[in-house]
Amino acid sequence: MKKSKWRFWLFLLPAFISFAVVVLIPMLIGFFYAFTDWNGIVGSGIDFVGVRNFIDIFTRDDSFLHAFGFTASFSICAVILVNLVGFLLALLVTQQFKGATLLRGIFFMPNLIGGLLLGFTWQFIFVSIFEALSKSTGWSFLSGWLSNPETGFIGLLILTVWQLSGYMMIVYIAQIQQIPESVKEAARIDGANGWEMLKGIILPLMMPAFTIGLFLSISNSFKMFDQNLALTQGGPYKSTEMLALNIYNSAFGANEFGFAQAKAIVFMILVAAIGVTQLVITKKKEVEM
Amino acid sequence: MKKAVAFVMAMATTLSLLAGCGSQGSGADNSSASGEKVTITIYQSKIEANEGYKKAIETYQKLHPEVTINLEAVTGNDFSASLKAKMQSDPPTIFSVGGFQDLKDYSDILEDLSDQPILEHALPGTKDMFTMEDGRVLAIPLYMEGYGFVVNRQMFEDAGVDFNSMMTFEGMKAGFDTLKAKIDSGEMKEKYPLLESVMEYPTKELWIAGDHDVNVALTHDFSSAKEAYDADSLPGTGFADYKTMVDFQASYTTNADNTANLNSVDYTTSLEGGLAIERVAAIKQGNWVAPAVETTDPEVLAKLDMLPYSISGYSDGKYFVGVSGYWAICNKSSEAQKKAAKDFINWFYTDPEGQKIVVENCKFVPPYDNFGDLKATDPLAQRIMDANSEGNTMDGWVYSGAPNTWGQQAAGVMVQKYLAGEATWEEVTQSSIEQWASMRTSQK
Repeated sequence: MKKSKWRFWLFLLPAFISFAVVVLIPMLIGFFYAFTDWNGIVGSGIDFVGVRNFIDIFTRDDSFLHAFGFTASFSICAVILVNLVGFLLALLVTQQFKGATLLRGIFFMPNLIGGLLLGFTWQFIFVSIFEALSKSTGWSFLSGWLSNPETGFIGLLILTVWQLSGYMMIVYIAQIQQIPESVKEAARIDGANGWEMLKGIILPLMMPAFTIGLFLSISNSFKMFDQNLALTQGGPYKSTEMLALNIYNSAFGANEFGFAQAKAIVFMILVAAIGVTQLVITKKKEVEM
Repeated sequence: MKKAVAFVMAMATTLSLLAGCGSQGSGADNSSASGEKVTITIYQSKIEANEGYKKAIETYQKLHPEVTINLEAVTGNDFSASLKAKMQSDPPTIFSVGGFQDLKDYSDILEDLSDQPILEHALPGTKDMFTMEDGRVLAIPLYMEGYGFVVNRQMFEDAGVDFNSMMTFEGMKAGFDTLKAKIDSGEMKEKYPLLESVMEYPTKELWIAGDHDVNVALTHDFSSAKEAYDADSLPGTGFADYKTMVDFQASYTTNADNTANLNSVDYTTSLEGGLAIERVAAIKQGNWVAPAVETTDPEVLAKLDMLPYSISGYSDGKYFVGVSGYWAICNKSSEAQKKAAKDFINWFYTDPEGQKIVVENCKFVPPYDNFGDLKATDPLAQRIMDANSEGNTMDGWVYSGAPNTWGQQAAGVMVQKYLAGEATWEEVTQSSIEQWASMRTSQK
C-alpha cells in the first residue's frame, strides 16, 4: 500500500511540473506583481505599493468598471443567443434529412478559424460591405457600423454567435443522441406532439449538456479578447472595450504592469465566481434517468 | 515489465521538462575574435521599410559573410507592447525606439553610441531626443518624416486649381471648395469615376485624430518634445487650432453630415482604399504613405504632392517634420554582436551603396548631411527634403513628449467623442488638460 502511494506521486510528477511551470508559478509571480508598481520592463525598478493598485481600480480610473459593465451586458446577450442558436442548430441537424451531416460541418466551421482573422473579416463585412449595401438599397441602418457603441456591441454579438454556436451545437448533438429511443417512443405512444416532446422529454434530459454549454459560453464571452481587439479595438472612444482588452491596454499600452496585474486578479476572481455559481445552479436542475 | 517501461518514460518526461527550464539564457552563440560567425537580430517598427532593410542586409552580408542578420518587424501600433515581450524572452541586438517614454524605460540597457562616426554628419537637433545630460547618445536617428496634406495634384489641376495657390490655409480651403463643387456637380466623374469626396479622415486610428492632429496644439505651448516632457501640466492654449483642423478635415469627407461615421474609417480605407485608388483627392498624412501608394498604383504616386499643414496666422506654409525613428543597440548583447551591429549601421548610412538603399528602397529622408545630391524617388519625400533645406518646417513630434498614451487615449478618444456628438470641444479641451496632469502624476 505504502509503495503504491509513492508510485502515485511519481507518476503525477510530469503533469504536475508542467502545470506548475506554465500555470501555477506564473500565477504566483503575477500575484506578487499586483502589489508593486512595476512598469513591465525587465531591469527597471520595482517598488512595493501594498494594495494601492486594487484601490486604484475603483477610484483612479473608471475604465475598468465601464469595461466590466460592457462585458457583463455583452455576456448575458451572448450566452443566451449562442446557446439558443446552438440548440436549434442541433435540433435541426439531428433530423433525418439529406445533407444533415454536411450542414453539421458547415455550422461548425467558423469555430475552426482564429478569432483575430474572424474579427478582421467581420470588420470588412460591417464597415465596407454594409456601407455598400446601404448605398445601393438606401437602408440607413446599414451605414456607419462599428462607428458607435451600439453597432459595436451588436457587431461583437453577431461575430460571437456566429463563431460559438457551431461548437455548442456539437455539445448538444452529443446529448440529443444519448436520449434513448425507447423514452421518445413511449412518449409518442402516449400521444405527445412535437412541442410536448421537446418540453417534457428532450429539454429535461438535455440539462447536463446545458451545464457544459452555459459554462463554456459564459467563460468564453467574459474572457473574449482577440475578437474584441480585431473587430473594434475597444473603439470608438473605448466604449466597446472588454475586460481582457482593458487589462492588456493597461499592461502594454500604458506601461502599468502592476496595476494591470491587480485588475487581472479581480478579473480572475469574477470569472471564477460567476462560473462556479452557474455550475452549482444548473447541476441542481439535472435529472437522473 | 510494463510498469518498468512506464516508470522510465515518466522519468524521461520529468527530466526533459527540467532540462528545458535550465537551458534558457545560455544561447550566446558567439564569442569575440573577428572573422568568427556572429548573428545579430534587428527588431524594428517601420514595416513600410522592411523590404529596403532586407536589401541592405543582403548587400551587407555579401561584403561580410561572417555576419548573419535576422530582421523582424512589427507594425508601429503594436510595437511597444511586443518589444516588451521580446525583451523578456529574446532580447534583440538592434531595436527601434521612439520617444521619451522609450528613453526612460530602456535607458539602462542602451549602448552608448556617441563615438559612432555617422553621428558626426547628423543634422542639427536630430540627436537631441536621445542625448543624455552627460553627453552620451543612446540611439541613431534613422529618418525624418513630415506630414501635411497629401494631395492628388493632378486632380486639383484638372479641376482648375493651381497647386501653388494652396500653400496657405485660405488658399487650401479655396482649392478644396472648388474641387468639392466640381465633384458635387459631377464634372470630375468622367476622368475620375471613383472620386467621391475631397478628403477622407480616418479617426478610427487614434494616432491620426490624436497624436498627429493634437501636435499643432502642443506646439503653441512647447517649443520641443523635451519641453513637453518636462511639463507637469498642459496650458492648452492651442486647442482652437486643433479644432480648426479636425473640423476642416471632417467637412470634406463623405460623412461631413454625420461625422460619427468617421470613427469606423481606418488608415487602410483612407490610403489603399482612398487616395491610392483616386476615391479621394487628399488625406492628412506624411511621406510614409508613398510605398503603399506605389504598391497599389505607381501611376497615382506620380500624381501626388504634399501641401503644408497650414493654419491661418500660425503655420501657413509649414510642414510638420521631425525624426520619428531611431535604432538603439542593446548593451546586454555580446561584444561581437555590438561590434557587428555598429558596423552595419555605419555602413548603411555612409557607404554609397547603403545610402542609395536608404533613399531609394527605404524611401527615407535621411537626417544626415553626407548624402550629397541623392534625390528622393517619390515626390512626397522630395517635398520634405526641400522644406528642410528651406526651413519651412515646424516640429511635428512634440507629442512624443506628452505623457505615455496621452495623445491617443486622452486627446484622440475625446476627438472621437466630439465627432460622435458625445462631447463639446470645450469638454475635449478640458478633459485633455486634466488627463495630462493626472497621467503625469501616475506615471512618475
